Amino acid sequence: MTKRPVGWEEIPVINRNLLSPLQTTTWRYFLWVGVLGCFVAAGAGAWTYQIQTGIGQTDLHPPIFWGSYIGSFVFWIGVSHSGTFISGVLRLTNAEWRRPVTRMAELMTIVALIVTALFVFYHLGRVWRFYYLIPYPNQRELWPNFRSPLMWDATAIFTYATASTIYIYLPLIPDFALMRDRIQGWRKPIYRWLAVGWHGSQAQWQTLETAIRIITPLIVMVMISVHSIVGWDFGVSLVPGWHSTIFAPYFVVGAVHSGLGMAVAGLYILRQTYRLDGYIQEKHFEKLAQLLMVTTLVLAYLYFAEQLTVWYGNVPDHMAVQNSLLTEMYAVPFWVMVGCIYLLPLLTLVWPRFRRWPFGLMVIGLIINVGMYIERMLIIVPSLGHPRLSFQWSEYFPSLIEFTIMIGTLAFALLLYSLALKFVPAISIWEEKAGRIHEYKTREE
Amino acid sequence: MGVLLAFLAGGVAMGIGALYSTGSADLPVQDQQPLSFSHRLHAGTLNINCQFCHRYATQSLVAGVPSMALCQTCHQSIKNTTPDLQKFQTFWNQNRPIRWVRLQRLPDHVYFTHEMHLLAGLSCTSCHGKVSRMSHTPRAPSYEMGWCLTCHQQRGASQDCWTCHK
Amino acid sequence: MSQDNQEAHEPSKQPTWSYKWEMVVDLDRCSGCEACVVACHAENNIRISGEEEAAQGRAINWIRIERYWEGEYPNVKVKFLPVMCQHCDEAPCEPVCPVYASYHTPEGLNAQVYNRCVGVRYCGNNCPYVARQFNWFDPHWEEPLAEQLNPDVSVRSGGVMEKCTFCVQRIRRGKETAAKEGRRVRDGDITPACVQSCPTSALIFGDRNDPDSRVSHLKKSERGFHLLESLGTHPSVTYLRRLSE
Repeated sequence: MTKRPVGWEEIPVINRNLLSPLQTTTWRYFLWVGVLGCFVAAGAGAWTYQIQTGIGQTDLHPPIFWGSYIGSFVFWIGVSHSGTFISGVLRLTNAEWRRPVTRMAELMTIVALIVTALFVFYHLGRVWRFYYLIPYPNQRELWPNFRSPLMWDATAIFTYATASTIYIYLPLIPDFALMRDRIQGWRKPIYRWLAVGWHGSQAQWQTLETAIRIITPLIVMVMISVHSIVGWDFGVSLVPGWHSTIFAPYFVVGAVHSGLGMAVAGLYILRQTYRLDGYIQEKHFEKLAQLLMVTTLVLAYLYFAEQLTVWYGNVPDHMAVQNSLLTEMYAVPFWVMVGCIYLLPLLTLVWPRFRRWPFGLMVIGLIINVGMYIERMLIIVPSLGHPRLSFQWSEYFPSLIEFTIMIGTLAFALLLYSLALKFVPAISIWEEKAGRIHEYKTREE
Repeated sequence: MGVLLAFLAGGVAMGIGALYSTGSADLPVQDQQPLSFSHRLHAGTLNINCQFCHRYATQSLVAGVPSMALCQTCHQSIKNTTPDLQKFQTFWNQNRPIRWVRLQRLPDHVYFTHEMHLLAGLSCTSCHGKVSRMSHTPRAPSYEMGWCLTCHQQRGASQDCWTCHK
Repeated sequence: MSQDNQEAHEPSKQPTWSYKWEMVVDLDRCSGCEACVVACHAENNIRISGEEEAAQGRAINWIRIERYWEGEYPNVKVKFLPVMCQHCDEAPCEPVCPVYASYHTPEGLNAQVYNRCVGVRYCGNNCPYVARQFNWFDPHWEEPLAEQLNPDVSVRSGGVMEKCTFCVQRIRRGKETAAKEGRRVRDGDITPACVQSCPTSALIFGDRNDPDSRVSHLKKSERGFHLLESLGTHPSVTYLRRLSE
């Protein structure tokens, strides 16, 4: 009898544990999906109403031509960075603790990207003419304008979506094969198709690992470029408060900040819902908390640098924007935002014991995301509300329709994520197994 | 199976597109005029100049539809032998205009002037086809932007958007 | 012989002239009466926004009179500043449009092609003069007001950006008339609605490429300046400073 590697007996347990969410569904899940469905329906209704009557259902008015939809767009694309950053960077650095975190973060990326694209459509004045934005040969002999940052954006996001799909798919192949063998019913043929004939031979493993090694650095680069371009949507314009070189790096770090916050919260909720305590341990939360600490500090540094430069420069056009944030009409959301994304995380995450407290981290993760949502709005609105000709100064607060659409879309994201959990395991099964074996090996030595 | 369906759908789309581009998709049903008017007879057999009836073409945006009085210059001396001619006579007797159905219509965002096109040396047939051979008046070309642009490119006319869009 | 051959005469080779349309606003003459605003509305089929939308700041005006107060009551001075699209030569609104709805014509006009616009509204953000106006809803005219619409200007649907065109329909007509007569457009042939209606002749419009046009002369005035000149947008509208200062 050949000697089995240590930890062999754990493998069926891992299979059972991680596949169980796909095999058993409780009434609570249906209730949850039903409630989300209602919210989604409300959002869809609001959007239909907006299309039928006009984009004027928002509170937008000159000179504030962009508002909550673009703010949400920036926020959601930030969330989408959780997956790529956590799994990509951690894979690159060969961090062992990444294993239970990658899959759920990558799923978050895909869901967030779908939602991001939706906000583009909500925003368009004539959404039924969206195809003018797509480069395709047509009888009008017209192409989109690639000098426009919005076209860079569309290109970048499309690239990111494609790359992320490949990136989440590759490590899924062995899991698809496992599910093809273990799960019966309507999903079986789909899994068979998605598993592309995987049977776990040495050659297949080598090909897969090479493919993952190739795409990982690429997707990290795409991720940085995508959010830089989103930052340039604002940075390259003439608007006081936007026209700044710091926007690209600031947006990238901000995206990772909110992405990490979302990942911590999601990790906690998954762990509680599916009782994955054995897989998602305190050490994982601790590592993520340390990363959050880093992004908090970097983001605060960039933000401070930007505001200090504006304040000391004291150019009237720019000061009008800054004053409205610090002391005038947007002071309340501004200071709430500062508390949510800088002060609270700083004050809590410095304590080592707090960094090992999953529930506390989830709360901080959610607070950071609330703060980042406000922050996205505060980038857009005060700047647009204070154009150089002071005759046109104006204020803005999202309308009921805008709120309904935003909440409906949030529900849609949660719904997509919940549905996805019934189709793919939240933790990469084969990577988890590989991790266990790696762990035992290192222990033996 | 999916590929087959895709090809099938593509084929149907191409077929319809081809029919549409050649104008064959324009059915004579479109020509539901109050009374049957034949361009082949007037412009072809009788060889009446286009601008005898459409008399504003050289001096205005629109070519114009002739008034009943203009029709009468000839028709007063023609015997009403066919049902359509009798119908025409009824309109005239009752002092009612003929409400022709307009077939050639450009969207509101297009600025087009017959005058400048004729001044540039185009003939009516360049855009409207050989009307003298059409019994009815179906739409000749598609009047789509790409079609306009092709001619503007060939003849070195302005391709500035605001030349034609208002 | 068919009539086809009769009509196919040789393409007449017309000489082409290049124009550069510009405007001068004499602030010393502006009395702030807003006749230009009304004329512009009538000429350009600008949608009627109504009281409620106007209060929201959504009233569409292609030209507006900005009113700035100086000093404390009772020693207040009021200053009027008519602002319309400046038709910048380096227009910030043009490169940001993803579909080329905003572009520069060869005659120096900053054009907006309504039927191409999808309504991303980046141009509106990037215009430092806030000259761009947006149709938040479909337009509506009570009967019989719909009968007074200008057929030379399209009616913009909801979701479309629009702005001052220097009355391009009048420019087009003027050029056609001149072309038929085989000559260059003369100074004063073309007057946009605002220029035509200004009782104090504070607005002057003309061709910059014609060295003898009034615009060309006035642009050289010592009083001349451009709005937000430091941004480098090179506007086609020149303002003449007030004298009484």
